[in-house]
Amino acid sequence: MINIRSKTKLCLNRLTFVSTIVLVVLVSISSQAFAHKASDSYLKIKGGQTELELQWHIAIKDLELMIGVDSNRDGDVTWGELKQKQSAISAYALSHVSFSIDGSQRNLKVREMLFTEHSDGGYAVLALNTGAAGSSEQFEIEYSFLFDADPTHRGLVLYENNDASATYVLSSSNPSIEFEAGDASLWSTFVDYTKEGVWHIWIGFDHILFLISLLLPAVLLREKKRWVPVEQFKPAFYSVSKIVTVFTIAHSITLWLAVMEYVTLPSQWVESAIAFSIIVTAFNNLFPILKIPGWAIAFVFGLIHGFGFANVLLDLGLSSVTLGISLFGFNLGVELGQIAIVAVFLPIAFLFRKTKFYEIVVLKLGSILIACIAAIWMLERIGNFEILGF
Amino acid sequence: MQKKIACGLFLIVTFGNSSLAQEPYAPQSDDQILERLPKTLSLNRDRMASIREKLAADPSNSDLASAAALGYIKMGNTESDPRFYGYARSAISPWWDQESPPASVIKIRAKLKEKDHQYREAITDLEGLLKDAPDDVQASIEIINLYRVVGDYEFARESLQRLATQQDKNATMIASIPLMAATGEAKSAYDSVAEFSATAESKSTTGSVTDGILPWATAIQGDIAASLGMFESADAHYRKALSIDGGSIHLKRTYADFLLDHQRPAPVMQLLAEHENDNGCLLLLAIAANRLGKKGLAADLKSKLLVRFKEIRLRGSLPHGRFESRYELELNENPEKALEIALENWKLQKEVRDARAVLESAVLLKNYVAAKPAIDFIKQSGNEDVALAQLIRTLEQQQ
Repeated sequence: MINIRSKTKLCLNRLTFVSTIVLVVLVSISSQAFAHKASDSYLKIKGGQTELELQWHIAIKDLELMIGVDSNRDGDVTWGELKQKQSAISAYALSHVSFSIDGSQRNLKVREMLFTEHSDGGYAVLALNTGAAGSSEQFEIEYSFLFDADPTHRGLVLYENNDASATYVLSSSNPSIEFEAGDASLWSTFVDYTKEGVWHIWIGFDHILFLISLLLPAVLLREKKRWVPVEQFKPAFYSVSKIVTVFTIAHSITLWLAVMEYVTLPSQWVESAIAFSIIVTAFNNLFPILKIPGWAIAFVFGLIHGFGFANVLLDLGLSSVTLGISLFGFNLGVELGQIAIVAVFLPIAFLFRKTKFYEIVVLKLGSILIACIAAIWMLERIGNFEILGF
Repeated sequence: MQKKIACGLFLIVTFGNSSLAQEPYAPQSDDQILERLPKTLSLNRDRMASIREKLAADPSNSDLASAAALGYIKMGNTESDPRFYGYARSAISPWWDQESPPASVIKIRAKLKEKDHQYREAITDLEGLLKDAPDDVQASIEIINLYRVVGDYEFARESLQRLATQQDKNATMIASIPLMAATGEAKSAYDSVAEFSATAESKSTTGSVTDGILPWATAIQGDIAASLGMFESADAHYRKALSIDGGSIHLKRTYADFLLDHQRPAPVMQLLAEHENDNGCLLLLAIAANRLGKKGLAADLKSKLLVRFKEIRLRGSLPHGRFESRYELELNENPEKALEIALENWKLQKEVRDARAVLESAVLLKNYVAAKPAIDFIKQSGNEDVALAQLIRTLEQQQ
């Protein structure tokens, strides 16, 4: 690269200009970054029929670089030019991918070459014979196409069968994958979303704190403006179950409304409102201002939390095929996560319910602490800045 | 474990693959044009082939690698096609993960990181380089620009002061103009660059001027004039810049943006007609078509853009927040989403367009609070952009 040697005055001789040109080329405004889509190829695998179908979509621009398809060099690649190079394209492409199905490496053959367009231009489509059955279960792909020339290139594997679809990304740092058709089944979608629901409760401190502030008084009864411990485990257990179930019903309703896009709320409002719900609930433990039972609080605020869950789910992305099962799985996961919290919390709380420690430290100081944390969250979320970092 | 679950999920969901591309077919005629290759490819084919050949024979030669990468970066800038940045990265791949590669390579690496919106990483690279070679003019200019893009004006000024001590007036000017324009000295930036252009033009006899600094200076005159509300001058500067560098997509996009700001969607259609491949151009075309009431065309462009965003996500990248936010605001009528994306983008970069993305959606939502950090930032920086000022006034009145 050329360094500009110092010049004492505004000097525009040729040499300076040449070096300055390099400068300007490099300096030219950063925001034009990645204004196109970078290079991708698409390996589409379709199972579920008699024979496994495989199509490989390769950008014509990439073929031009690797093979040179614009034979007459007029800048336009025609169908005639592409066909002329079909054997070179096939040979080059197939030497950069290896495909094993159900444990045996397949000798891929190009059945025909077709054409399609993606959002960034024309693609040659190699329709490949795999010699494998549509019911094939296990796939291994090793991919090295174009990585040498363009390390930012990606190979996108799109698997589809009658039940579901799956996408895998191959990159220069991750050039091979193994997957099973079962990975894209409804059952595994359901299992994955259930896990995701549990995980979201586990990492979603706000939901945990909300639940805990609702549960703190569950082993106590409010009598004559004083907290008295419940006598038996059963009523405490019922009261807790009711709270958790009602919370789940409420957030399921709004989760569904939001995911179906019947109702959409800005996530900033939702997240702030969730923080607010925690403040109110915790505060209510100190000064019972809400003249409604715990399960009713759980219902009202559960509606708000549902929108929060929806944002998580929408961020994960949803397909219409698996929407129902994903929603159900996610809800179930959230419920399981809550039950886990209750299972740990309730016995301990019940054990200590008669102590001053529980009433003062756990219930009162705990609620104050929760309210404070939630208040900071609320500020963070309204103001869009970070104090706590979790 | 968790990562695996998240991964698995990403895999399963996404979307019906069929929505990505039409069913493949065999074109009827051999003459059907399937792809128009970037012009820069044919223009530079032989030159790049020769550099690549030399590099292939000596792949660890950092000078050759840098020359090849620089060639590709230029081609990428002309076409705004990241493929070329990928090729550039390939040329310097032996040094990509190295702690301290040769200076020429670090500068390329930082540039490629910047192109990928990894501004902080690019800054780290250049800071490292400048520690060892504080008089590297090129790296100084780069880092000043990066600091400006991310809004660290103090650091930018410090670096600029250091650069100024090197007595390289051209370099200092190139680095200082955009910074001054963003930080309350737009008028004097405008005057300096005008003076520079005048001198440059009077001495422009060699022809090299036309592919280099003059278009940059003229275009930035347009930007600053537009920012200061001198719209007629801005229009003249932009048109002049286009007349000397009609091939620059970046310039066309900037001018198209300006035209849309001044309710002139019709010329935008013509200006950007051949650049649908560029996300920003596609977005502006869709907005222009929409404003012109060309419903069918607008819907077509909008759906193309949407598929583009989907395909970008599919490869694990994110569409440029500035574009996506504007799409949500102007084409999808979803100001909440637009604001959310704009705020996310604002964390990353703080140029005028980024601020506008935040303020415009906040105005529609009458949400002063969400825009407050951006407003404070703009006020503190002293930015004089008239469009920003108008948006801030509106937000303050709404409060």
